Amino acid sequence: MEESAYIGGVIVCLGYLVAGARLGLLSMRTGEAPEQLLAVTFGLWGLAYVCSQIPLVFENESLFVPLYTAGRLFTDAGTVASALFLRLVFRPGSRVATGLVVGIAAGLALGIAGSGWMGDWASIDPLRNPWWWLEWSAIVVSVSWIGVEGFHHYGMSIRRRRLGLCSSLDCNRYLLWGLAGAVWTIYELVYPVQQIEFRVTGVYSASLDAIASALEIFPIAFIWLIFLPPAVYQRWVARLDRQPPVAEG
Amino acid sequence: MEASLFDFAAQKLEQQTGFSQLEARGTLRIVVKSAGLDPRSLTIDELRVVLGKLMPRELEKRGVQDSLNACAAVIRELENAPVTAGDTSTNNPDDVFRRLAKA
Repeated sequence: MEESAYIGGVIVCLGYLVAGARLGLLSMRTGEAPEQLLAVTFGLWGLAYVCSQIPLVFENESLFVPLYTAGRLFTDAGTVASALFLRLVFRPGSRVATGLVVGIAAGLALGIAGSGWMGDWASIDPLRNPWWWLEWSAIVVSVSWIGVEGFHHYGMSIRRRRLGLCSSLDCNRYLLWGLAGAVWTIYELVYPVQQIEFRVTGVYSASLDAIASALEIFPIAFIWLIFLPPAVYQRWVARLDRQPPVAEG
Repeated sequence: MEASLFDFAAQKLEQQTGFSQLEARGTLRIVVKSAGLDPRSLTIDELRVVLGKLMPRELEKRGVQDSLNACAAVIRELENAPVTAGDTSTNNPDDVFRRLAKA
């Protein structure tokens, strides 16, 4: 592993944990389900990174399987929470969305069970373990759903903004949410290539490592700009609101 | 269930334009969607904007003579609209993301 991967891992890990903690504190104040689900999502994804980084940092192979196994359980549980968030916020009452959540959860659960049955508890062998692909597919569906909802609602919010019915900041959050989903999806598409390369050659190539690290870090930046936006960024986006809305009709 | 605010506005539009129920609901749905809104979670303020800014042109396209007055009449009728859960929603995506951004 290259140094960039360690640094990327630490940034991603802290990014998720801090965002999860902030949303968790908010959910304690409001008691609302959306913030609870996102707090769980980011908190678990952060813990998953902690688990995956420890064996690498301490170069302790005996920790590898148990911590990687724990890490993927955290990742999968966080992924289910994110799917529940999408259904609750963007598609309440939708049977299709409910089916998607059930499908994602079932794919992840079967993937874990099948991988365990194959002896690949850490889920690191896509060449020998067909269940790896089921779990991976469920994650791809989940993160691409994030992107689809983000871009769809961005398009709708642009129309509302033209009528003065929502602010530029509202629109921008959907765009960032869509971008985060898109980059997560690209990362998930790169991930099997990286894993297969490792199984074949025994090493992670520096170029793929750098690409994967960048793809992990960008969504953290988007999440921070959505949920913890700096004042200067808010002012920069809000400048669009000073332009008069388009008169129609 | 469709928001009753949408039903209410469609009914008033039907009365003001002479459209059939299907035409009134269809026209309102098209306009609401083109404004980037969800018919199931409309608020009165959103409906006012849609009826004031987008609906007159849509009615003209469908041969309504005095589209501005028809829309103004429907907007006035909104004062008597039932206040629904959708009208005070705090869990539409805009509200949720706005709230989460204050974490």
